[in-house]
Amino acid sequence: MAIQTRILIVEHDPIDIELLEYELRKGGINFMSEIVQNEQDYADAIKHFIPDIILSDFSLPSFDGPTAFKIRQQLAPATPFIFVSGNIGEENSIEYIKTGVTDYALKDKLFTLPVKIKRALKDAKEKQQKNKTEQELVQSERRLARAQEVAHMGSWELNFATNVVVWSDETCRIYGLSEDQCQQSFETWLSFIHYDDFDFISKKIKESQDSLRSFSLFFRIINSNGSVRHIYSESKLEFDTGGKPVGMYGIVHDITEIKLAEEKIEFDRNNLKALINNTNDAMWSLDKKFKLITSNQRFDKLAKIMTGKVIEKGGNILEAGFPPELLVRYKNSCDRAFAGETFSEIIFTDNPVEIWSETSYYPVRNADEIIGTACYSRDITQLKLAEMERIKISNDLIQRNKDLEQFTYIVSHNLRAPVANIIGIADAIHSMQLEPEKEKQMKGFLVTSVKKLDEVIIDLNRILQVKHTINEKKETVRFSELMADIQLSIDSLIRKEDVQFIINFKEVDEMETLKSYLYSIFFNLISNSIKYRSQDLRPVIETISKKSGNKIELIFTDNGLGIDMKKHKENLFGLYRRFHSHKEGKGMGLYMVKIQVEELGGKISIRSEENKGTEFRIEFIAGQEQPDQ
Amino acid sequence: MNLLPVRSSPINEEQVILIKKPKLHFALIQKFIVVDDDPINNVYCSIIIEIVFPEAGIQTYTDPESALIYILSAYTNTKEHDTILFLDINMPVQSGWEFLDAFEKFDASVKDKLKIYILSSSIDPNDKQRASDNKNVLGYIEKPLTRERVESLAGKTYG
Repeated sequence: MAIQTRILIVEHDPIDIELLEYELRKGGINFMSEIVQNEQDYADAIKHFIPDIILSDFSLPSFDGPTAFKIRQQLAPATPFIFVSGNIGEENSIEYIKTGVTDYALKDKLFTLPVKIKRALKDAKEKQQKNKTEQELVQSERRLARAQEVAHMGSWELNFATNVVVWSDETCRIYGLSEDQCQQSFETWLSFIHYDDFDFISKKIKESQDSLRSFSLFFRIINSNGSVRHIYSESKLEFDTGGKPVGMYGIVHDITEIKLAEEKIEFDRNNLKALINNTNDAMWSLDKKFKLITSNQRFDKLAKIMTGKVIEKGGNILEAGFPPELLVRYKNSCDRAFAGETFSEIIFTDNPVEIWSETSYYPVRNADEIIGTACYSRDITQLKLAEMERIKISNDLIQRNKDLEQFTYIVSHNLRAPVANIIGIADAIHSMQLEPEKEKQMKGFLVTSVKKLDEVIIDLNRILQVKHTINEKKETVRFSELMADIQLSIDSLIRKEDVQFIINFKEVDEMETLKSYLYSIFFNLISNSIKYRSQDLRPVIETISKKSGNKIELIFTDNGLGIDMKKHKENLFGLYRRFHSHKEGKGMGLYMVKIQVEELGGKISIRSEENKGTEFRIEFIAGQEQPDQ
Repeated sequence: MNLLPVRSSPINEEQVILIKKPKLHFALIQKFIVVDDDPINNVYCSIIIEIVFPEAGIQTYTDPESALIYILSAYTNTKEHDTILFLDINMPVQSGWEFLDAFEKFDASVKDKLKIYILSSSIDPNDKQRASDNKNVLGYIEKPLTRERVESLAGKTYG
């Protein structure tokens, strides 16, 4: 479909109109026309008809060309305006063209009109196009300038021929210059470079020029305000059509803020590192996938010890090679932290060595979301051992106190018993009429009871002496020698009871200790075993020694009457406790043995069954100090 | 329960006795058993009891085990008379309390015949409390045993 040219005609004479239109058609113009004769219609037509071109007569009855032209300037200055007149005059028409009228045509030369119209339209179109392009260019440049401003990135162009650098607005701003100082020489540009960077940079640029290669450099400048800015500059070479370099263009990027931020990050990182490494406790953090985020040196060291290798950042802790039992527990604890819980727990592990550690968990939050957990672990083995030692000492004290109370109770009883007898007997002798035999008996009892009282007091003294500070010195005591001595001293008893000894001190035959105590212990146990022998069996007493680490064990086993452990469990080593009534005995032997073993820093235990013999086990820690009084 | 303070004066004054049941009036006590590991005490008690009850039978045991065996055999399904038994507490192989535990298991007919009194040198209130808590123990006597004590148990006054 052909586009019709819209022609607004300002003419009153119908014949002129007809002639005009005839010439236009003849001239090959496909048009649609609107004809007006007064100002009002004319203005309306411009607004609503929107003509592509206006053809105007010079004078009309109620209107005139010049006015029409003025209106056209206001309302549609870009629309071509051609005077069509009979008598305008050459000079006038040139004047009018100077003011902006597109062309003029004489009514008696109407045949020129189509050509003029076509030309006018063409020019108008070209002008419009040019305007549009110009506008787009301006806008484009404006956008670029804005972008540079936002990015703190300016551009520049260097012309090799003139050695002049043209800077964009932003570049000027970066260097601290105003926008109208945007053309500088290359040397000026160089002069802004920071003193320390100058040599290096100018060398690099010269290299780039000589080798015709682009550069990208980081350096500092001192802008015209005197402040140091960090710059990144990149260049590209510009070539002419022949391939010859004619100039350079590039960007300068003010990266001062970025640089400062980087330095701050680096500072923070170093600061953090110093903080977390300034401790013997392990510190580390994981994300929710159990990947390591950060760890301090201590953690790395421990990880290396426990798994044989260092765990890299981002490495999965669950797959690092920690002992499985530990991992299960650890995973559960981490899950609690991931759910938001802050807590701590104490863990014991014996792989590779026995360690107690207290680990605390703290969820790591980013905005409102939990992204991982921070862990802190302290080795509390020493604390724990100290605590356990304290508890042990405390228990020992409590036990000793109990022993003492019991001891007091027992002794007071054993003191009171003979005293009660003495009282009764003395009263009977004093105030009762007794037959001579009975009186003699009573007097005998009195003597016996007084002696008994004295005995208890002597026993008491012996026991207290054992518990007191030992004055004797430690010496190397040979077990085999001790046994030989004892066997010699009760030689007749041994032969009488036909006792067989099995002695084995191969593992360890000596100990640093107090000879008299050890002798007493051996003696009491052996004489007990002989005394409480089984009637049907030949008594066999076995003594062996064992050594493991710094522990020395002495084991005495017999095949005698044994002790009903269930019945006497509580009071095996109790004072004045006896288990067999048919044999004489005060019940002090085992009590003394226990006291003496404990005074040497050892422990004693019994295993026995009635009629199946008895086993005494004594444990000493070699080299242990005597307990202080 | 009357608990008088611990005696600290000579023997002629009343010794402390805890009695749980009202005094029983025995027609005549014919038998006494003394269980105590101290032989002196046993002979002494025999002498004292004999002075008060010349006709009574007296048996002493230093081994509680033997005493239990005797009681079981002598008092089961027999017509033995009521017997007073003095029982010591602190004996090396088997204590008075252990004796009472074993005694508790005896038949009611046996237990009925034996009137047990703890006779002990202990002045520990815990022992006295324990005695009063035991339903087989009728009283607690502090050693030494006196004539007056024996008489008051049997309800006879010494002329």
